Amino acid sequence: MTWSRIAARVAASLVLALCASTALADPPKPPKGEAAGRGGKSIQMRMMVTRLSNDGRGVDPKAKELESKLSSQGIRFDSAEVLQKKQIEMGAGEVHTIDLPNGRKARVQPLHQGKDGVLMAVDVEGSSKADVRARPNHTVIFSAGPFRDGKLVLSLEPVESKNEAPKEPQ
Amino acid sequence: MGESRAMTERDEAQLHAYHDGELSSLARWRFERELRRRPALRGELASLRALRGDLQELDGSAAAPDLWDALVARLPGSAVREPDRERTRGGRGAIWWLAPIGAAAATAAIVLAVLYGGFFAPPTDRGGSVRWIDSEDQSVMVLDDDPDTTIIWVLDGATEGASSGGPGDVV
Repeated sequence: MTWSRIAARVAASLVLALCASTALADPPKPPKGEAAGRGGKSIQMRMMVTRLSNDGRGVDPKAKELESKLSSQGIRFDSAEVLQKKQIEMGAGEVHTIDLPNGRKARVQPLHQGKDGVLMAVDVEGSSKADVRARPNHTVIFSAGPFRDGKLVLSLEPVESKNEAPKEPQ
Repeated sequence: MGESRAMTERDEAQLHAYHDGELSSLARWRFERELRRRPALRGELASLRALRGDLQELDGSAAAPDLWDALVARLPGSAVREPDRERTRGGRGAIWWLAPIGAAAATAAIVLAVLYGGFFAPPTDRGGSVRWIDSEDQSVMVLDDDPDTTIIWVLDGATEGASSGGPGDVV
């Protein structure tokens, strides 16, 4: 065997070893916006935790919409303080746990997303468990137990998926 | 994790709802999970099913007596024959021409219902709906008058200063 053949075999082995190590070390990542490891569309949800009370501090500007939704249904209070507000991204079946300031936990699990919105199972410890379907921008408000002479409220609102085809103008 | 708790009122209510097929699919799935975990619950379900079987047997075996012949024998002859006479008094001949008008009116009503009554219209466009709820024996209100909002409000006594009068002052 000539030196050139030996060198060619060594080079080929090195290339193979390099390819194998790359494949093992860095599996392909799902594109952003897809549910991790599930291949389904991700579900975006706005989440807000608010403390309602009658301690005269007024309504946080971020809670104005919540206040109007609740007061229109006869739920009255003079103070609302937003304690957590964020947008969460989940895959269908994935459970997201929210630590509430009163020590309780809320678990949100989107079960299915279809043209009628998101069907989600929500479990607010010590308060209620519910399966609720909500279309994008429909707010589902859960009372989440007492907190500091007031009451906590958890609001969940599915966000319209950007992957959906745009609606035809009417 | 075996049998951990005794039957509560809620268990009983859910058991009956499950037995009668009244639970939603998700609630049924949850309840079946409970059933797998709790032999006592399974026992109760089995007794319910056995009871229903017994009742069905009873129902089938108790044939209702036909009393019509005995009643007819006691009625005066004129009372029995009266309807026949009414029918043959030329009544059928007198209103035959009303049949096409009735059919036309029924057709028009169906067409109007289809056009304006929303026969094929999609169901009310509510943005959300509660499929199943469990508030662990606490009173709960589901408020969904607003099409953009669903409120699930548990009345936990500690903060409901106002058990005095509905949702007007619940915080």
